[in-house]
Amino acid sequence: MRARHPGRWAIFLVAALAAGPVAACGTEPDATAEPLPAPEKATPTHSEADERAAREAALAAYSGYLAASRDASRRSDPHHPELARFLADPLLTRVRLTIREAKEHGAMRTGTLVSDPTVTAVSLDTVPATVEIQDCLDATRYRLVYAKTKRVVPGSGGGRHLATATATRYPDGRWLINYGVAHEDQPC
Amino acid sequence: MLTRGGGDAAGARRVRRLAGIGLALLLAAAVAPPAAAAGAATTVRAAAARAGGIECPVGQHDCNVWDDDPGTPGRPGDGGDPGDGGGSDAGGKCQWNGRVVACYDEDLGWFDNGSGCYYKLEEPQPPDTPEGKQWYLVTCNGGDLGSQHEELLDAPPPGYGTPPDPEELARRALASISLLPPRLGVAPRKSKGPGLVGLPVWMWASPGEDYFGPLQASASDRGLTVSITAKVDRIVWDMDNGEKVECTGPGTPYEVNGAHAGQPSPDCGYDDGYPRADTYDVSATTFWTVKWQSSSGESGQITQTRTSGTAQIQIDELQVVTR
Repeated sequence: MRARHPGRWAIFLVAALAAGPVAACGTEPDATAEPLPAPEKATPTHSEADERAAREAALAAYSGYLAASRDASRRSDPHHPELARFLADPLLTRVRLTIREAKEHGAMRTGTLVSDPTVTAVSLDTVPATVEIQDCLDATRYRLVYAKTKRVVPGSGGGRHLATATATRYPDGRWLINYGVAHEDQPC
Repeated sequence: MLTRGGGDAAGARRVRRLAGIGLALLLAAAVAPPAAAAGAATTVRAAAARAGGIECPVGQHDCNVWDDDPGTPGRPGDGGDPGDGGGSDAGGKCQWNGRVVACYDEDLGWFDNGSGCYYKLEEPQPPDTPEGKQWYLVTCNGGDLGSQHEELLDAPPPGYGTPPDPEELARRALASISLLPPRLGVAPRKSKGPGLVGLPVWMWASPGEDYFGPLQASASDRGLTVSITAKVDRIVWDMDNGEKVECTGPGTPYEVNGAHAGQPSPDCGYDDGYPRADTYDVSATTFWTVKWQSSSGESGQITQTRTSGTAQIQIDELQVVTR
């Protein structure tokens, strides 16, 4: 059952513990007195084929995300339908907001973004099942420009930097990218 | 801090969540009034936050480039009511830190006055969503992306899912135009010479749509459009001696060689003049009526005032030469 997952209980436990002192200054902590069952040790029951399929699906979602993000940024369309095909919240909303902010400043992204992603971890025994992705993105020729003049936005631009992302398997079986951060301070 | 990469995925994930929870609780404790915490016990996880700016999504690496731009799109905010000197009543239904913010944002969701945060149901719902609960993406501090985190809630916060409010849209349309405070002219004006007790005083304000209307604007949200027309009904002059003079228009500038020279103003004056010699700081306030009409047939009005700076008048006694 999904309910037996250790990660989830850890969240509740921490939330309950942390809620104590915070709630003390106002409301009664209404933490439910449900006993916490001992977490079951997850046993790796997944075949190599499962893992390989997960890696492939995750990398496909990741490259789909980059392509959708490029296309949406080029068109200044925060609600480009492709975004929701490869992304999930909270990253989906973050990407939309970033494109929207550029659009509100009359800017768009153009050029080429070179990606070379690798899978750093596969976790199929957890709920949710996740695949961690690491990428060395080359954004040297991917620029933020003003749509009208095509001039580069002052202060923008980047080089080769580390990017990390998490692909998560959703209940309908799709792998979507729901976390993803550009570490501009970490060149690669 | 919250960066991830390689290693034991499950372990890293848990650590991240713990860090996230701690951070989010800190944030919640710092920004949320107690009422906000009074809901059910909630599970929280942090999204991207980092000292010195927000973390940028992959492929949007220089997203912080706009941070120093004064014209940062007030995100949902719109800044409310620009440049008003006097008692405006630009009260909005949704406010954060005294600032009017939009009650709904197409990306951030619905605003909750209790917590100062926008709530949006995550799309799609994550796999670890227990029965009867839902994950929300929460953006606090009136729409600050650095405060974004996820919360697992039993029920949506108050106001979640409310349809667009025509009056809020009217206020948003109003915020998109500038109702300028009047610019004054008076005769006599101190810089040009004194006036005399009991002689007519002329007052006039700069004419034009920006100062007197009519100005038009509109705003739309989820299929509802509200159009506004803003117009000055009256301008009230404060003569600085307890007397007020009300005029319906900008008045007439005094001209030494004009038809009414030496007589009272034809449309806006303090005709009896000042009874006592002194220096007076005259100011004026325009009273705007903003009428709004929505595409759904509703209508209403909002009043606004704009107050000028001052113009000085010096009044001398009428000297009688006896010798």
